Amino acid sequence: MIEIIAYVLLGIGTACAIIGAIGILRFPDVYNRIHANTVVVVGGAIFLVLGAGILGGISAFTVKAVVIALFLFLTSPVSSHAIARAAHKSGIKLWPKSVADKLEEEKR
Amino acid sequence: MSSARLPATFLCLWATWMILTTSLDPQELVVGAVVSAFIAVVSYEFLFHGGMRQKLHPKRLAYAMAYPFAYTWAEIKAHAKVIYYILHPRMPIKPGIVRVPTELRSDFGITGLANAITMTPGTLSVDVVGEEPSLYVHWINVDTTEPDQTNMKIARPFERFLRGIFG
Repeated sequence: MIEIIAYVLLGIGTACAIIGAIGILRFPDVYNRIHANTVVVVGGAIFLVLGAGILGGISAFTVKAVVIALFLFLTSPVSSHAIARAAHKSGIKLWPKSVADKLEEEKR
Repeated sequence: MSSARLPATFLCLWATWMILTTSLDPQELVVGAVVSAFIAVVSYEFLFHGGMRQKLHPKRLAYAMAYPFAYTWAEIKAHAKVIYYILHPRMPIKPGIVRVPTELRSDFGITGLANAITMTPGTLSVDVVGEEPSLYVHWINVDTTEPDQTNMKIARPFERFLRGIFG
């Protein structure tokens, strides 16, 4: 039973990672690509870590896997945020079809 | 209270170390104590503000217990939406940066909100500005740029819980 759950988690994680990778290639600019990157990290990495953690049965290893997932969860938004902020500060334009940029208006 | 903050931080860290190593070997305990002491000295000033009674208020604990579930649900919905945009042949996205005002005032609360928004695919906080803070959020499908509406759609699912937890 626990193995089936583990394989389902691993399957969801793999699917999210593949779809996210396609998204990174398809989306038009840096900000949209970070959205696809979030799908890879949250859906992909965390599900894979949890799946690997319970594959061999519940043990101390599972606790460590949960902690790793938690730290991925706490640290990855910081890097996404830093990349987005640096991109906007250094003047990287949004995709031409974007509908609004309130931050640019605020700066003027 | 403030005199107990350093030992409290140290004990929390050491207990976590023991749970993670799952051994009571003296060597492990000594290394754990040294590492915990170092981290506690560096970081205790940022932790354990306010009294214990306020910290362990039942309402606050209830919000903290309910938050992961509400968060997971929001996360699943957002994933489904962004996966739909990725796989759709014409990619029907309307990206843009909008202003999202927030009622939160504490540093932890605003950090938590910005991280929650970034961790949800489809919204990405780019900057935090102002005395009464506003988040500038890159949104993959801009429905509205009205500040009230954006707050309703982007921040509201997390804001209620974060205000209960961090004030």
